[in-house]
Amino acid sequence: MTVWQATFWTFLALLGVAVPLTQLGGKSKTVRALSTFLLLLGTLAGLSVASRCLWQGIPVNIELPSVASFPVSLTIDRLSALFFFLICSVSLPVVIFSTSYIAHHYEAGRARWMWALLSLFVLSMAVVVTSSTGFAFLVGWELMTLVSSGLILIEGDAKDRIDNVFIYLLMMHGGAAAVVASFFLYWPSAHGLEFTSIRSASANLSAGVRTAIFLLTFVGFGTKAGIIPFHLWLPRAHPIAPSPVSALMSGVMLKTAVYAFVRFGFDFLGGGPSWWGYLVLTAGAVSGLLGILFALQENDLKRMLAYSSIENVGIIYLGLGTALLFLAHGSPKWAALALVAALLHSLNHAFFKSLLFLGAGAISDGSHRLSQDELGGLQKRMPMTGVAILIGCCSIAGLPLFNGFVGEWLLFRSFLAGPNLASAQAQVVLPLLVGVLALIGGLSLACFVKAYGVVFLGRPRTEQAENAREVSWSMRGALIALAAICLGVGLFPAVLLAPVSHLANRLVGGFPPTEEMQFFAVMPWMGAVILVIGSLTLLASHRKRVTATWGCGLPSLTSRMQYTATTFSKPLRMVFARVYKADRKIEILPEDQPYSPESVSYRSVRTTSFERAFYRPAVERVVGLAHWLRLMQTGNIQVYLLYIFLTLVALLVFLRFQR
Amino acid sequence: MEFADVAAVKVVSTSAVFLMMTIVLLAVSRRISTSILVFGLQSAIITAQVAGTAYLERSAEAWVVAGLIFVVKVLGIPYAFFWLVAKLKSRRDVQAATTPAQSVFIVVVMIFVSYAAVRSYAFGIRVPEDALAASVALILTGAFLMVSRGKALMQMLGLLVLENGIFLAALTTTFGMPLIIEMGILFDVLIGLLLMGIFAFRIRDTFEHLDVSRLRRLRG
Repeated sequence: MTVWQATFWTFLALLGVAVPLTQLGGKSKTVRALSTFLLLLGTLAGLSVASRCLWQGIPVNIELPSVASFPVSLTIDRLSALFFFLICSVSLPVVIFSTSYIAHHYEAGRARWMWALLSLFVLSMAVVVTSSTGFAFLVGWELMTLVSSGLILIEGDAKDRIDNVFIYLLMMHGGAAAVVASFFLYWPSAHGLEFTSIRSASANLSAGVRTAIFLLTFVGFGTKAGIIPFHLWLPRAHPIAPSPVSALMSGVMLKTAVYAFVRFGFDFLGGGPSWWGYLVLTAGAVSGLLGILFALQENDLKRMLAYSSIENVGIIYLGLGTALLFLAHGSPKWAALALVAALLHSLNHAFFKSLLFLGAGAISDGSHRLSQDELGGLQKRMPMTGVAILIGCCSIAGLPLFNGFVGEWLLFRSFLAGPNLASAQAQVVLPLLVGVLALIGGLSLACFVKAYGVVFLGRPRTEQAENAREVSWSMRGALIALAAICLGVGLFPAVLLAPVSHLANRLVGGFPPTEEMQFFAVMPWMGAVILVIGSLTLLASHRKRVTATWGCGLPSLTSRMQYTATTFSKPLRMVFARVYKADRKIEILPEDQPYSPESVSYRSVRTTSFERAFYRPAVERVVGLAHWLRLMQTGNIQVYLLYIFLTLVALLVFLRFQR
Repeated sequence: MEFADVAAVKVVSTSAVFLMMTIVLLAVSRRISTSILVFGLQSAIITAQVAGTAYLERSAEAWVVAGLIFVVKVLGIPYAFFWLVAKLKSRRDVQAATTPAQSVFIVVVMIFVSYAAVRSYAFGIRVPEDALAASVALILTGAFLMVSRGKALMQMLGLLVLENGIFLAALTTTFGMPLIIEMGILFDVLIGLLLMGIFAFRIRDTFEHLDVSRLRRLRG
């Protein structure tokens, strides 16, 4: 056993056995503190293995005893390493954040379960991305769903929470069924379902089976990734989870689906006909646009972040679709560029989305509020958290110098390479997608300017926001670490670009064009120039004038005079009225005095929802069918006997005519 | 050839026809007591067939089985049924859902179906086609009785007819099952009768009638 195998074993043993056992079994505080330390240690071990495999490209493999006839083994090749790296590097700050978050929010009994499940959750995701047999993959996949729903239920089991978890589990089961089916389509040609035999079997499959596998994985993994229209669970499950868990679910768990989709689409199937690319592009564009539009009108911070996850998964799928399209038209160089864009954006989204979810956790910890309209003026009260979240917002909006920019820029470049292709269709469609991506980028900028502005600037809107205080050092440390990563990757993306290009080369057989990669060398210089100009401006305008803000003649300004979150997004909601189809309600009380009301309330609700248009009718049809089937259940014993009798006769008749 | 030999061969080869007759009789019988008698008759025919086989095969085990069947199915079960009918004091008709003519028609269709079903099968192995068809027809008729007769007792009787069919199928295809299994099956049938008797009492005590079609209110 090599050192690295041993390190990987350490990761598995600590997270899978040691931490849950010490948490649940340990009585004293010391034991539990030690257990948290073990969790950190395990994550660090995982991080070191992942980094080494990612940058040096040497796989690490461990064999486990097979279950029945199913072999079980874990292998970290470069693709796995990238996502394993993602899991560990996000889990580390999340664990640090949780040390005080969990202690503040949960009493000892729940905290222990929380820690144990958190550890298992990270482990299950690691198993998903490192498994190299179908069986191990499916076990990890199911475990991930189960443990995460357990984590959601830690905060309580009220009716609506149970309902949301139920929808989550239901959709995950549907997705998992598709995933299992796609694996078992390989069964005739690849017994044992080891990834190596699946890979070699893929080349000999008929076109129909390949298409079936692709569509099944598209639906199965798309459900987990939350692409529209399979996103129903996402805005329900993410906001109700504890913040560190939301960070992991949104930042990391969605990426396991991206990993699996890349594994199947590129590694196993090696691309396909061009309509695969168009399908993925459509899904990506729709998810990206609708995701950010829905995020824009959400005022609850965590729901907004959940919708923005849909948007970012959409961007990732745009990259994957472009790569498939380039691959179908025999242009591996550009396919590699698009794939690098998608993979890098997965990684970057994990960083800034977990930063923002943890930030939301910090805000609720400091002020006990999560609705944007109940916050405000937090920058003065929570300066470090504010700066970290500002960096996260800049990253998610895709501003240069921050990490969100890198992936989106590469994606733009690969769209613009569309005219190099031979197919006229692709020549038109790909450059048009530049517009789509630009719209997504602009809208997400608006969305996060709104979020940051309403929450951190201006005056506090409630007493809770007024009395908000900075969070503990471990929370701040985690936020700052993530913010530093966002900034660092934005300034020096080459560190990650190199291994990811090698990975793309292995997947699509071509390196991305070097001139595209070298572009980012300008980033540190640009950063330096902005720093110099910024500090010069600060020095130059040192004069301060302190005076009261003009209040339109009113005696004093109140927090009610500020732009609210709803007001801020109003212009965009008017432009996209067709998308929202808002249902407005104005309520004036008491009704008989419209000119001197005691209270006026205004509400506008988005009425476009896939639930109403798509899922409800389907469910109703199923229920209708069930009612119809209920006619069979008469409760009369003779009718049941008749069923048996008729079946018997039918079978006999069948037997007669069978030969 | 001795007389006994001839008789045994005749019994084995013609019993199927007599069994078909009992099937039609079961279909037309309106009273529980008639049905019980016909069942006894049917069991007696099967006993004769087993005895004939035992004589031809010179098998002591088969003689034991024949004796058991005679005691249990020809004497014991009909007696128990008559006792139940007397005790329960319920109405004597079977509460058929179909008229006798319809019943006969259905039963005849069943006989055709059985012949059709066993035809291709009987060619493959050395089995008298008639006997196999009769056994399948007995199974189907038993099921039909359970479906179409309202009285709880008739359900039990249908089950017993069905069991006769299964027994006959086993006898004709494999020349009887091992003795211990035969005994087990007979024991099962007795226990079934016992349970059904108990339930018939309970149903009557609770609902003041024995019509299973009125149990539908119990559904959830």
